[in-house]
Amino acid sequence: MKLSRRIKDLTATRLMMVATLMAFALMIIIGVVLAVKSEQILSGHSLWSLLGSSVWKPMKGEFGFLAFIAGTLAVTALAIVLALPPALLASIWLSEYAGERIRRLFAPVIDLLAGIPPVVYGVWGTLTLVPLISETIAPLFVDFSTGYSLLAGGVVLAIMVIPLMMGLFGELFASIPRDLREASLALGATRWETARRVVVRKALPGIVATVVLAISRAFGETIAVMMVCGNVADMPGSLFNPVYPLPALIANNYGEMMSMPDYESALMLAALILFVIIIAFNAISHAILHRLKQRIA
Amino acid sequence: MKRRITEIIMKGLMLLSVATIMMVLLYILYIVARRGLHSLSWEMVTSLPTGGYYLGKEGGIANAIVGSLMMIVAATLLSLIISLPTALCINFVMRRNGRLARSSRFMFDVLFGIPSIVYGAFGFLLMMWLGVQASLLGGTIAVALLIMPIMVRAIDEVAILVPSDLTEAVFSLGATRYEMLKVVVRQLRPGIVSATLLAVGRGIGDAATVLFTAGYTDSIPVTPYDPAATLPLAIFFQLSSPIEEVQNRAYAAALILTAMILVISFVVRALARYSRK
Amino acid sequence: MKVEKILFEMNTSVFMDNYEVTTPVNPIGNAALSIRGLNVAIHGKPILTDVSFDVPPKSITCIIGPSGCGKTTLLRSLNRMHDYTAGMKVTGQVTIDGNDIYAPGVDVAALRRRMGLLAQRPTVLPMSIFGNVAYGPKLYGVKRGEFLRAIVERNLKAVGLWDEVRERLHSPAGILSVGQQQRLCLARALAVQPAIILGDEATSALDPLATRTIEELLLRLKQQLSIVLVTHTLRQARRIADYVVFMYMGEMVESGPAGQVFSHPVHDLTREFVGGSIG
Repeated sequence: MKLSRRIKDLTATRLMMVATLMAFALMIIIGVVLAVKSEQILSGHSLWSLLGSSVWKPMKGEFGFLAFIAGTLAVTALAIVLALPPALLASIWLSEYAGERIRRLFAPVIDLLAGIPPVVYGVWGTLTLVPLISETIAPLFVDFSTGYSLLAGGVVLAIMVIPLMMGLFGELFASIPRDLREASLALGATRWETARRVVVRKALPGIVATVVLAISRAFGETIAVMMVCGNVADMPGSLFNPVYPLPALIANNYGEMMSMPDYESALMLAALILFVIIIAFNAISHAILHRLKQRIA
Repeated sequence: MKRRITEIIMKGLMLLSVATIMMVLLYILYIVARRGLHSLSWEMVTSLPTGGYYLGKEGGIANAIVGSLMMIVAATLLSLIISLPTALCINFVMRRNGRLARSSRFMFDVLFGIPSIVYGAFGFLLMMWLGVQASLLGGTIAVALLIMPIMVRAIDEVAILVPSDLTEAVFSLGATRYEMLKVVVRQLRPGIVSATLLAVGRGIGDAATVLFTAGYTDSIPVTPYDPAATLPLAIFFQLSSPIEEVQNRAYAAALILTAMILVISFVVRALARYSRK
Repeated sequence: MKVEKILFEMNTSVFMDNYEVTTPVNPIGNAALSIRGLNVAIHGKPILTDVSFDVPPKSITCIIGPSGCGKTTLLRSLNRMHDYTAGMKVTGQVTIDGNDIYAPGVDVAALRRRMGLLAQRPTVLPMSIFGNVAYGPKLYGVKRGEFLRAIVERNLKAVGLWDEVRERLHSPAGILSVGQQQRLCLARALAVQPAIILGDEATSALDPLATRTIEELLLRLKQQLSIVLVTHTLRQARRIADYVVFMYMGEMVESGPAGQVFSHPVHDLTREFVGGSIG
């Protein structure tokens, strides 16, 4: 073999390994940097008092993250609960009931909607949804709400992740062989029974992966939620009360914290909490997916 | 009979879901388009903001449009340089489905899930460490970090489908690994294009990453070290204004951003199709 | 509860033992199919024109013909599988037990249950071996574990798979070999008590040994039910067919008892095909 070819080959392979390792290192570096930066706040307060308290008074040196963590989880959970059933049902209809022509009409529309940046949904949320909640919906249930609320955040996020889910579900269902559906139909199953017991079942690992993706998106979304959720550091009580998710906390205060080392460190800890939750969440979902794939095969 | 009723009920629910989803989403698009078109003017796209722009005075957001474009082009290139070799490495250098490849995939899943605000904060720390001010460069790095895992995953999804028959066939002709990869990359080109598009869409629309890293300015950046305005932030700031006219401009800016994403995706797809012929 | 009992008892009577088949007591098992003036077209372009023949009870009817002659289309119109293909139009009559399956208001699901389908490649559902066989009975309301277990066991025995899989009933069905999977699909079809088995080149994906196993099974099953088999190999038709339907260019050219069609074909086209000069 000519030497130049061999050298080219070796360099290329090495460089690729380096690129991969750099990406590997990135995750570790992010974790370490955030941990180092959170050290100051962790040395002054016990981790338990930080995570277990919902009192947030930075000026008095009290940093309780509980309300923020609860707010993040509440908004994310509400969004997925609102988004998953209709997205799944609509996708099943498109793939199992609708004709080829309708499917072809919908696919680019869903792609387009999935490409709309979150800030656009945030704008709509602020100028249309928030007034709607405060003037029309909330008075039916509570005395007063500004409209900037857990509900507004959940709805905006749900609307944001629905096209994302539908796009992925659509690809997923399309990849399931027609033979399988016919096998079920031939046994006398109705279309819905076939969809539920065969198509959805076969696609289950993919569905779980899609939901994981949607949760990640909703969980980490900053601007769109920040615009509509009110940003008050209370424990989420009712749908119409404001919440304050972690990403919004960081985004709102990061610029002004330079003068207060404790505050800066607390915000870094907020980022670290997000980081750790995402790692744990991914690890759990990977384990679940692995088992599902083995069971269905 | 019960089974027939279930079938009918479920079909009804499905149709209801489709109708609701489509109505809500198209309604949002309609609202944004209608109110945005109302405030949209040629001036807004072509001119820089004047002193009192955010109080309803004359001007435009050309600074943010240009800033966003510069940043996304730079970030996409930067990210592609890392992502492509990485995705290829996972699939064709590491043992397929070996432990190393599997743990790499897991890691990119995690990186993919990290909120953009964390990348923003991390990017900011990185800049402080490097002694860089909030600038075009800073924003570019943060956005590149955000879209790198998106690209790796999207390329990986198509690379994983390349049959090992193909790589073996190329090897059996006496090709080195590098030469084999050149063949593979040609095969993967459509996938790389859509991965890039996906990343561009995510990167250009994300506000949290650029919030601290890019800064904000009324002028167009000249050097990488100048602060740069971006569209998502322009939208956000206009919306924060108490004046309704300025708020309506947020709709217009949202419309511009959406249109830009559409145009970019259309142009890139057309180019990709053209270059294949 | 009532449905459970009936299904359970029907299963008991049909497949008492592994290889010994008792005289049929199941009235459904004697139904035959008759096709009259069947036309199928896609987007106005005809695929089948004016096909008419009868499927005699308790026998194997093979549909033969060169590829592209509409054999598979014909088979699929027998259990209304074209319902979901856009642009497909089916006219004519297909009657089972004297009921037209294309009549308006027919319960398609109930109708399909009467006809088991064996596809070209085995189509195991994404569940366990047990789950595959129990799929149909579960749809019809059999819930009791003991009934389900009995049904699964009987039908797996009926296809000679029981001894091979009894230890791993709850493993995913995908781990079986292709031949085993096809037998599992047959067991799954039998579990809903069909009157007819439709096979679409059901052995084309199998090796000769597995093919023979399936053929032997079909020969045994025809004592109970009617079997319609699309086959692309003439030799298979010669081996197992009681009746033969010869299709050419979307039309039925000739049909009749296998011996007659093979040794004294009436039509020239049939003679050429059977003799091997077209196809």
